[in-house]
Amino acid sequence: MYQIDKDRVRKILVDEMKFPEFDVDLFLKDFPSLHDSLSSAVEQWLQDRTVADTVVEGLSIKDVMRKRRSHFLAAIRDLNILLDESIPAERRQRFKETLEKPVYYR
Amino acid sequence: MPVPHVESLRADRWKLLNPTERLEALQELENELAKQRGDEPCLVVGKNLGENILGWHTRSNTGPDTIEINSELISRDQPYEAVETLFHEDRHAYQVYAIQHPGTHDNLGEVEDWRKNLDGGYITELDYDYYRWQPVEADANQIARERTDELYLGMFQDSEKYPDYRAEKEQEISRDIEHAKMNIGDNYQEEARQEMIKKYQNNLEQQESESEDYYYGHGY
Repeated sequence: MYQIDKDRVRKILVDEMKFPEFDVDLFLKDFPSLHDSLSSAVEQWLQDRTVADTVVEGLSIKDVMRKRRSHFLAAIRDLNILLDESIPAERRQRFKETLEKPVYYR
Repeated sequence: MPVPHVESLRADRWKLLNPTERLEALQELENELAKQRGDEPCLVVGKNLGENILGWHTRSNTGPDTIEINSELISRDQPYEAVETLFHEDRHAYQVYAIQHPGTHDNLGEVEDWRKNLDGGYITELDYDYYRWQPVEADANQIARERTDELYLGMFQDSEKYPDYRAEKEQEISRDIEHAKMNIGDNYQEEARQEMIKKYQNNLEQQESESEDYYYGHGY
């Protein structure tokens, strides 16, 4: 399992990306340990903020970011759920369906 | 309050209108909704808001508030999403009015939640689940859904295209619930409310501390 460096990520999200501190802390509070197959994508993002072409269950990080208009790390957290075998397969399948359809903001 | 009757919003009428006339129909709906609560209507404008953004409500201290509706919704031959977005954004205007005019909304607990939510407790989109289920957004989504049903199922008896739209919206809500349950837990709406209150209090304490610093800095 791979643990993100929360202090480093917090600094990026608050200082560089200008997200409100409270929202960043809320987001990172229960951020899970990640499946090892996602570690290189996170490391690359930490280095230069580029998004790797990693694909999980047919869904790329960019697909999820675009469909859900989400942040890279939110997409990573979503894809990590698809790799979490402690979650029943049927539930993971239902969750995957949430990632395949667009999310709308208003 | 009953949903206002704006004939041009019927699907078969809307289809024949040009974009300017469609916007006028939405403005008429907003005028009627604002009249019901005794408020000045928001100015309704069409704007290219990008792919996943349907609309915004922007408050103003100097003139009327603005409701921006994504132009792409106005260009569609079906009015449903544009109308539901108008209902959603108008509900934000109602929330502000209810905060400023006690007695407007019967449920005082809800008004207090809206006040905190809009006065420093608003959670941004970094975490979609908290954003989607915080009180002002959950309420605006729910009311918009109900009113759109009331207009198209009830008033206009639109049994041709509306049921398909409605089914898609219901699936969208189910997906939002599934996503929130996975990330926040089964009690996702109350959890989002609690975090909103924490953010509000956090913001309040920060303001108080900054104000104390100011006084100390000025020799009080």
